[in-house]
Amino acid sequence: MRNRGGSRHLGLLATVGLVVFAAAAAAQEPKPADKPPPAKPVQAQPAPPQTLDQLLDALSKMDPKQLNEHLAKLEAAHKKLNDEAAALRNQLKSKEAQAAAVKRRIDMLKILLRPAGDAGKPAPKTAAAPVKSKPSPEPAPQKMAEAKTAAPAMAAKTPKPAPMTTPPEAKEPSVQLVNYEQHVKPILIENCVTCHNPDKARGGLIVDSFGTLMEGGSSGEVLSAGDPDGSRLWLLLNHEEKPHMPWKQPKLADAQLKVIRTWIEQGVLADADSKPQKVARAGMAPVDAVPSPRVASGGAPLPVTAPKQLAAPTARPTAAVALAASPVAPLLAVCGTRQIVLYHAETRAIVAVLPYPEGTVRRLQFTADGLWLLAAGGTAGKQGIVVIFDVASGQRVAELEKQYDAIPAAAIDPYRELVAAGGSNRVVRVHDLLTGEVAYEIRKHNDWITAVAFSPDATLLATADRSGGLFVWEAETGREVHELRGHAGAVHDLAFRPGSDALASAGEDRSVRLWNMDNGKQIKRFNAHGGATLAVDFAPDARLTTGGADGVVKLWNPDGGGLRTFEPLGDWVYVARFLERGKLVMAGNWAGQVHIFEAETGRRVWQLDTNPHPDAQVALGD
Amino acid sequence: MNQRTNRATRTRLALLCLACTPCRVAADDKPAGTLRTLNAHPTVVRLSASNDVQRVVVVVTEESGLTRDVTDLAGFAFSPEGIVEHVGGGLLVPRQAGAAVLTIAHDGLRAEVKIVAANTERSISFRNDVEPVLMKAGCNSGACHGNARGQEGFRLSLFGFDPQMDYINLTRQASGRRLNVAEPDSSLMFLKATAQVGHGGGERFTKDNPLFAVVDRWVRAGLPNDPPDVPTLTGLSILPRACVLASGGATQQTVVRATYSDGTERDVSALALFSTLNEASAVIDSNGRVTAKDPGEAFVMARFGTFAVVAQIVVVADQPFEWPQNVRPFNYIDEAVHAKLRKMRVRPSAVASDEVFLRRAYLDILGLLPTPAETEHFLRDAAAGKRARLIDELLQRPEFPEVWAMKWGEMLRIESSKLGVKGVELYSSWIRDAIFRDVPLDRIVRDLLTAEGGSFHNPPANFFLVETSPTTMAENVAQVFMGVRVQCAQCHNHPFERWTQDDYYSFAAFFAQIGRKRSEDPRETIVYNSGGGEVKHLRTGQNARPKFLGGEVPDIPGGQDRRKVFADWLTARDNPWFAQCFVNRVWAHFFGRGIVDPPDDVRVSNPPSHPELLERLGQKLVESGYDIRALVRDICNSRTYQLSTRVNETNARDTRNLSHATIRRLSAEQLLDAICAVTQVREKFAGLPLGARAMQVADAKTGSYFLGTFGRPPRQTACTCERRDEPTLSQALHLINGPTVWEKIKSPNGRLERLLEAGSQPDVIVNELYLAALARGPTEAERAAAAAHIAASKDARTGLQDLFWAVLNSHEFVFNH
Repeated sequence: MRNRGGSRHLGLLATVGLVVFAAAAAAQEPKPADKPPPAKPVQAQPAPPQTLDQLLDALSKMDPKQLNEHLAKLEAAHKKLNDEAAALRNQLKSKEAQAAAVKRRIDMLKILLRPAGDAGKPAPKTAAAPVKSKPSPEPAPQKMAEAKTAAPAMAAKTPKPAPMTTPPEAKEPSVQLVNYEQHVKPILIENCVTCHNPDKARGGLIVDSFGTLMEGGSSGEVLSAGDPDGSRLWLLLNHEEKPHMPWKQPKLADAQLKVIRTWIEQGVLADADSKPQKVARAGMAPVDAVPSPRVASGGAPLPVTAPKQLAAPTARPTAAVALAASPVAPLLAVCGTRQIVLYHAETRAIVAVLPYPEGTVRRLQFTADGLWLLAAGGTAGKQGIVVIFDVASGQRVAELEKQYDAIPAAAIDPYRELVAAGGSNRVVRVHDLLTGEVAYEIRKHNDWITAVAFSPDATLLATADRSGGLFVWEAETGREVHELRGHAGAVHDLAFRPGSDALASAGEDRSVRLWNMDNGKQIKRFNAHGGATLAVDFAPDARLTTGGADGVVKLWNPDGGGLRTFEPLGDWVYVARFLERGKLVMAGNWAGQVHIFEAETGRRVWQLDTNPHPDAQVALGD
Repeated sequence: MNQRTNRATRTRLALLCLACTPCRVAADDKPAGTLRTLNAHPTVVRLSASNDVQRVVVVVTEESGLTRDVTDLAGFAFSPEGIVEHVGGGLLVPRQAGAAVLTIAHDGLRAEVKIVAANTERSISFRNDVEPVLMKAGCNSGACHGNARGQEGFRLSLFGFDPQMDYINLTRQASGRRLNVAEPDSSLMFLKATAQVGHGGGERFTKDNPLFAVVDRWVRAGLPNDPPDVPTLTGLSILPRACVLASGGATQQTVVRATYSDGTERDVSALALFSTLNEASAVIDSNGRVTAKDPGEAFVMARFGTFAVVAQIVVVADQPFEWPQNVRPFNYIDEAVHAKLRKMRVRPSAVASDEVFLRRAYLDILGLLPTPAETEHFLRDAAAGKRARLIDELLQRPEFPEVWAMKWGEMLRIESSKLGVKGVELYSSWIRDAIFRDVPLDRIVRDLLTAEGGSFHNPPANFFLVETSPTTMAENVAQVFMGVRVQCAQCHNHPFERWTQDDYYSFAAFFAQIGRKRSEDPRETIVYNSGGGEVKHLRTGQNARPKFLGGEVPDIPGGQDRRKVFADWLTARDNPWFAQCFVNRVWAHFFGRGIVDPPDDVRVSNPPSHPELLERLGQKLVESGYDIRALVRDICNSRTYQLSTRVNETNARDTRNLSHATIRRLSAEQLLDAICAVTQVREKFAGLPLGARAMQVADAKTGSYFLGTFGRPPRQTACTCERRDEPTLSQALHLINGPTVWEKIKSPNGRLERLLEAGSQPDVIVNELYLAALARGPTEAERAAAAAHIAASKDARTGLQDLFWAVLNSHEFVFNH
């Protein structure tokens, strides 16, 4: 390429010309204000030439070196535009999927808006297929509005400089940032290259070139620009995660570790000329609170005619493994043995008791509109079932996924069309509530299914298993979107970030990991607890709460910074959920205690047991 | 008989059973020859909690030595009544706190049991109640959830070595799905263990099994974890410790008692795990009931927590037995052996002939065959006591220490790949010299264990160069000097012994502070006490504190050489392991089988055949100042050592009780040296002068096809199992076709050629060949056959070569008999 014979230039020039045209055309397109302008042509470049002769003429005046530089820049611009086009195509696809979901939701709502007396029957059974195929005359304004607001929110994720440094141009030129070639590579060569060289490549990782190091190893990327604590390389070198590196040797000297940490903080620069890479943390900017879905019938859904008869109390409380809060009403559901108890979050009264004679409830979830409550569980080793209750009437809307073992993992999508469930059968079965049939099955997991979750926009389904398997699927079709590798040991809980752009997973390896749903990359990880992290949930403003085997509940800001550790619960915390749109945090432990804390102050405001005595509701003044 | 029985098992069990001296009440006015004594086990019952149950078994010992379980036939009377109730089957249940005396009567015999009952309830404990259930039901065995990877996602520690992990995994893991405190009956563990739902391990117990009740009680109590001060198990005993049952179906109930750190005791028969070590003679069911089968000796084992105990079950044919009048003990060894044989109703073989004794003594004491002249001299000697005189003579010969230098070479793993050629030379010379000079055994071991300085300047320092890791070193020291294999305990508690992971790492801590550095001579290493360094416990990750294996925790100031503290303990006169371990190794050399066998595998589940004899020999060794010659003298002068290999109808199947001599193949070194001596053709080993004997080869790396083929140990491990004595095809082919035998027969310098050259007559030659190889002259039949063959051969030389070849390939030559 470099300064070879002149005859080659002709073909090359033709290509360059096309790129120049394309770049010029792109530049003329109206762009959103926040988009950076495309690569600027070199200064010597006149107005876009009109003919090939003119082009040749213009180019012949440039010296080859300059031409080559120009070519490189144009190629970069070309690639960038292509990438953007691909991203837009993806967005389009996702929007189309959203539109389809909205359409189906409209159909669904029509079914639901029947008189209340019919609620006892499973709605999907009566839904005929044609309803689905009929195009909806009116668009769902609510959903469309959401879709529109979502786009700028995602686009707003502009790269931010790494927090630890000021932008380089603002500094004296003598201050040099840490880069791979000059600072980091010598350390890696000294300590790591014996195993991580191109020939041996232990763990698939090769450290002697920037490119291969950035590619990462067989378990994924090892570097997260700007975030050392989310970078596997750092965690292993700093002996925060196993296997400690260097293998069977002492930790690196503090000075060397500091170089590596600073390098990651400053954005993982390749060499002295590099600009900081896009900082991952930018993806974790706080989101605006997602508006809550409104209920067509008006007013928050609370139990109206639901039964309130408590079962006889058990000798000891049921372990509090499942809790759920209504997204739209002051209502919380607490698991129990052979029943689910619904409390009014403000009056603290028991407002309904939903019988669950199949055993113990292990998973609870309200639908986004708060109309339905999903309950999964059963009797371990014997029977399992997913039941959907109509909150107002307490009636069973549907019974799904009958198995011969308790079902630990189940979820319903926000628009009440799909229910996913799995357990010891290692299969995630997704039921279509409209047709009452199985939409598809996921058989990719090699161990028991431990958690499933739908994204708030209903486009994605995440599923996890007991040996760290974690996948994201297209909710409607079951097509694989991402395989998220990283967890060592079981994944215990999943939660999508409001806005559906990220997924949080909590695992036996103590970590909480945040995954980017656009590219499937790990954005962030932090060890949340002293033992396994068993629960994770997002508040509408993207704060997180986690619970762990250390008996502690914690509150985190959206980028994983610790905000608060609540008063310990004294035993394993299996579930932690936000309540009242993030104002409260509730958590349940093995001993059957449910503690409810005020997020702002950390104060414990309420405590209840999983097996209230039948007299309890009187005492609470129902 | 009872006293003897008790003595027989006391060695192994003394530390476990304290309150169990048999209580005997003599029979009143009973005709002799029927019942003699009545014993109750245990004699003191402490019902430490109101919810405890204690079984008492009642045993009659007949005059013939037979025992019978008469628990169900005996009458029970309490004084005062109301403290304890007998609910049948010997089971005593406390009714109120107090003391009482139980009088048991049967067939005119009486026995008494003292009872103390408490009225406080014992609360359920995960470690002391539930873990034993997991073990008894097999849940935590290696094939099931005790597997290092668990089973179907549910893991328990192997045999319960990590109760805290087991507690968490049972109660908290998998969202607590395994046990349900709200609805105990719905607990997955119950459904699985009782096979109400599919379970890979099938049904482990039924709902009416006491094991179920234990777990059920725990679940209903809310799955409490144990407080930190929960009593720990400190001892275990099984009663009766020994019994003699009639073959073909007699039964005996056993009782297993545990003692705890808070001083309480408890009948844990329902929770203990039972097994037999000899299925042919006795079996034991899951309730601890023994059933006798074919005559023989069996040990039944009870395991509970980290302890294992055994009871001796002798099964005899219930028919008259007479001890032969002419069989009298020569010395104390025979007394012990004969006592066991009488109990087993086995008659020993006759004493071997002079020829057989001579060859055996030479091979065992010197590793050599007697020369024809020595044989003739001995056989001609008609004076009394010639065997004892021969033994004394042999013990003074220089070949005797060489045998033991070679044994030490194996124990210390002397070979040049680890130590270098010079190291091997210096190290083996040091040990050979020590034995030559009669340095007492305890001195040798102390010098080894505390060696410091350069490995060339102070050869015993090589001891610390063979292995460098503290744990491997500890394993080797335990196996070589204590006869104990602790390797299992590295990863989990020993399944059939009391060694725990804690014991293992605490013991290894003695070897954590050994420094090694290069000397000026790069081949030499300097060993020193580094004064720092610790061994980390695998499970807890904590530094282990030095603790003697099976002993206490010594107080060692920082920087003091831990090895010295250990050496003091090991070689102390009252150390229970050291002397017996060495005695047993010597014994195994002379009998082909240790009193504990293999000699470096002492454990409860591998009980000694003659515990009291082992103890006695150990004592005598200590008293003699660790004089190995005195020990060998006693062994070789015993009738037991001098027995014939020919069996009678009572001892044909005996392999354990020393009722006859055993036929042993010559060791690799003995055989090669014997072939050289008989043919009078010397062997050349690398680095040694021509004519050096195989017994003198110091380095296991010294190449020799012959020695390798016949099982010379490579000295890669400290295990006695390294020496192979099983026959192989290559051994047979090598003797038949190989160069070693045939070349030496034909050699012009060999015995045969020299005899021919000297013009000896064929019958004289035949006589000498027999004397040299077999330590006896040919029989008339052999003489005639030889003459016939020589006459039929091309010439006398060919005929004699054939004959020589045949003699060297005969079993009589290849075996020590």
